[in-house]
Amino acid sequence: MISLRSPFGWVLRLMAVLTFIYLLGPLFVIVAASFSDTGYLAFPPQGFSLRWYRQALGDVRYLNGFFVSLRLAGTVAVLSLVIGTAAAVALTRFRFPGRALLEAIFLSPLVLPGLVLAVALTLFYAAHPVAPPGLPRLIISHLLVGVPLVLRVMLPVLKRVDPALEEAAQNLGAPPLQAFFLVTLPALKPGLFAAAALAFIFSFDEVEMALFLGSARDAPLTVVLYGAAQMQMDPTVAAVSAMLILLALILMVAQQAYANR
Amino acid sequence: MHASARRGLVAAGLLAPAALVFALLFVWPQLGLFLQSMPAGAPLAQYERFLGDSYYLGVLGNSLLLGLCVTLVTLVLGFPLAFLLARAETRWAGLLLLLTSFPLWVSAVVRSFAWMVLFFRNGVASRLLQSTGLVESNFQLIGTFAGVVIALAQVLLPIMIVTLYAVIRGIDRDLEHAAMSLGASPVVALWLVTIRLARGGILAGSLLVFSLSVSAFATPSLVGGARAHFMAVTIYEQTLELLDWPFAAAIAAILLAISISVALTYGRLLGDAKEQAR
Amino acid sequence: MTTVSPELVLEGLARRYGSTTAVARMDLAVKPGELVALLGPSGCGKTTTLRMVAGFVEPSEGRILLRGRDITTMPPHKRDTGMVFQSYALFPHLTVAENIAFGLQRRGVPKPEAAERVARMVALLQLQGLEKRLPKQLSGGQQQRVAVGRALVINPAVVLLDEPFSNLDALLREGTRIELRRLQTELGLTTLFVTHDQAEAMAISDRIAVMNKGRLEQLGTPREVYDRPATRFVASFIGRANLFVSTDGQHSEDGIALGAPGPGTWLLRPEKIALDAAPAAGPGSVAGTVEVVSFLGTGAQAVLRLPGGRALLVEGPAALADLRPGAPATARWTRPDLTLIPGEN
Repeated sequence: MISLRSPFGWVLRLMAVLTFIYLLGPLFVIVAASFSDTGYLAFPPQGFSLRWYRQALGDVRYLNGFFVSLRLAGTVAVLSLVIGTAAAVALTRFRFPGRALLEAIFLSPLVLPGLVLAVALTLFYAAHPVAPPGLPRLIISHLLVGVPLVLRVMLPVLKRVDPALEEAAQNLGAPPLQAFFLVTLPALKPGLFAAAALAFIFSFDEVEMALFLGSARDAPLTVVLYGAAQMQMDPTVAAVSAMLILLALILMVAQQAYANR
Repeated sequence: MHASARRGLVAAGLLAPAALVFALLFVWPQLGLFLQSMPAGAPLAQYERFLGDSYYLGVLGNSLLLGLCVTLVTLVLGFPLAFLLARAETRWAGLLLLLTSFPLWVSAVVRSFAWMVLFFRNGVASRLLQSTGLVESNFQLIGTFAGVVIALAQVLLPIMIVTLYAVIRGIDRDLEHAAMSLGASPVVALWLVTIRLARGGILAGSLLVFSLSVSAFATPSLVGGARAHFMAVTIYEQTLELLDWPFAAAIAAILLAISISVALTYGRLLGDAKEQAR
Repeated sequence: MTTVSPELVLEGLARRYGSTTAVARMDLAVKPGELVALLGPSGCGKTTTLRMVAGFVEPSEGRILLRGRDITTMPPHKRDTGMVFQSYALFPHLTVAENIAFGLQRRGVPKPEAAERVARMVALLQLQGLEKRLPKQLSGGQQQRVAVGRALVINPAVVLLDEPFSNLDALLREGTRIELRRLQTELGLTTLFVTHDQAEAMAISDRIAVMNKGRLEQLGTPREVYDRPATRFVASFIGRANLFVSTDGQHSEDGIALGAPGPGTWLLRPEKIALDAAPAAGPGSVAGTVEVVSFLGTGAQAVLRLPGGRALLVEGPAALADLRPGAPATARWTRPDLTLIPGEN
């Protein structure tokens, strides 16, 4: 181990601490500013008030946006989980030619720019309206990233589960499907939770496809926030942001708690 | 039915939904994008328009420069933190790693807005700069290239750290011990052993961050404001505001080509890095 | 002579993967209550054979009969086999008792009866007090016993053991295999047992099926395969072997005065050879130089380098270890010590 007591170690440490502040400081700033008692965004905050929270929670656009996002992310998480896990099972439990290539292809939307996907989908739907505009269109579009996210989590999890478990269950009299549900699925549980959380948070946070494909009536929260942030430095945006940070924190802690159970 | 044929059917059935999503929402639209960027009669007109206009070339250059700057910043800031996290022996390391990746759970819109709060005329960061006297008294970081770099680097930093962390964890720390027992100072050991071995991973992380910055949308458009001349913002304007779809498709295709070439290199490098760490 | 109809029959069973043959037309009949070991080096096809019986690998040709019923194309869960996996494959989210009860539940055994049978199995395997534990809270030996109990509690027509001792340390292994053999004889379980360890196969099998490169080389009792190996491979895989090829019986190809009754490939086991200091005289003796001696506790081993260049392995009493490396010595044997290997003619 490179000694942390050496001068070099101290330089490394100092850089790490500054990086940490740079990384998390802005989130702290926004939470602090949301409590400010001023009519404009102020940091350090002046006074303490919850008026911006009251304003945010009373604003139909934010409320509506939140529930749209919730419906969007919830549906995307469930669908991605089912579709992605099924594909992951096929890719790990069956042997067929081109399996590795198929895996790479399925994961490829993750490394391509979200905006390009969004533009291509916009042009696609204009020519082929395969789904009603608004939320349904956005939901199926988010699957394009949600499914690969689930695959990326579930593939290594499935590879770690001993295939002999399912064989043992079959040997003891369980038909293949029953063997999967009785034995493999319980072993996958922590992975499933993490995968669903990831797909949920992606869909909840995503803005590019939402801007391109969502309708004004069903605008997800990120789109409402994006619009509001462009207009003016409104403390209400800070209050909504702070609540979203809290939500992310809760989700992350829940996921960790579940994984370490 | 033959058992192997039945297994084949089951596998196909399990793969079908994902394949459908992929074919319908990825292959088809991406092909459509290319087709739309090349209208009959003048297939290359849109590309000539982009590459022949100094304004658009400037946008491309701006985005590439942004990618370069953000990659450098995240690498320089990310490596020390990733190294310490990977080598730390306390049980706090796990918590710290979790906190490092926490920003990934928060929407880029929220994170960009946080920087807007710091960057606007009366924001802490802008006032700090004003007080140094280096800039005018009404200076604000919003709308500046530097502002976009600072904000986007923070947005993408967790990705760099997580990538580097995984690579450094894969390097046997006894190699550093061995180098030092043979007389290398810690700095030299880090340089000759760790960084040398992590090279593939460092490149892979850099390419990933580069690709994401070149095509980033939310942060450049919010922090960069009205004067944000970046690729993604331009595509957005052409698609939703100017409705010039063939041109938007051509710009998107150029951006896609950059991302794909970066992604292919990235995949190869990450494979090599895993090979080397073994 | 009474004929017992066999419990498990493999008829011309074969498995090919593309152009490679994993198992080539194998015939085997296991009698009720018999323990047959499938023995061979890795890649010899023994595990593939076992997995075909369990139903996890489809045979390319041939038939499998269990209690007279053709089960060749039957799915695994309908076959009446109880398998102990090399990795044990204990269900990680189920307790010891739940693991053992798993097969009974699948068979719809009423709860009270199932509980009683689980309790009996727990007692039989000395797992009392561990019923509520999860597999990861058990030692390796305990896990192995749970895996055995889970396979036996359903009273399968045949028990399949896939290297069940390979994950135990050497000390535990011997005790466990004796224990398993005792259980198997007591309960009269028909058992097919895969192993690559010849000592293990010798110790607990009624008969051994020695396999090599997908072929069944010899099927016989441990004594038969040791004393009368059918092929060169069997001779050298089971125990240690000095092999001589001779065209006239008098001398081997490399000029040793063999003294065999006829031509062929001859096996001379190391423990049949005596060493002394007198000069070599006539057939059944050869002089050489002691190269290595090793003391083995119950006896000793020596390598004698012969003038022609070949080495002769000798095993004998502990006194053998007193020989000095470099000393001259003569190896002696008699005609009955030589065994003809029929498969090589």
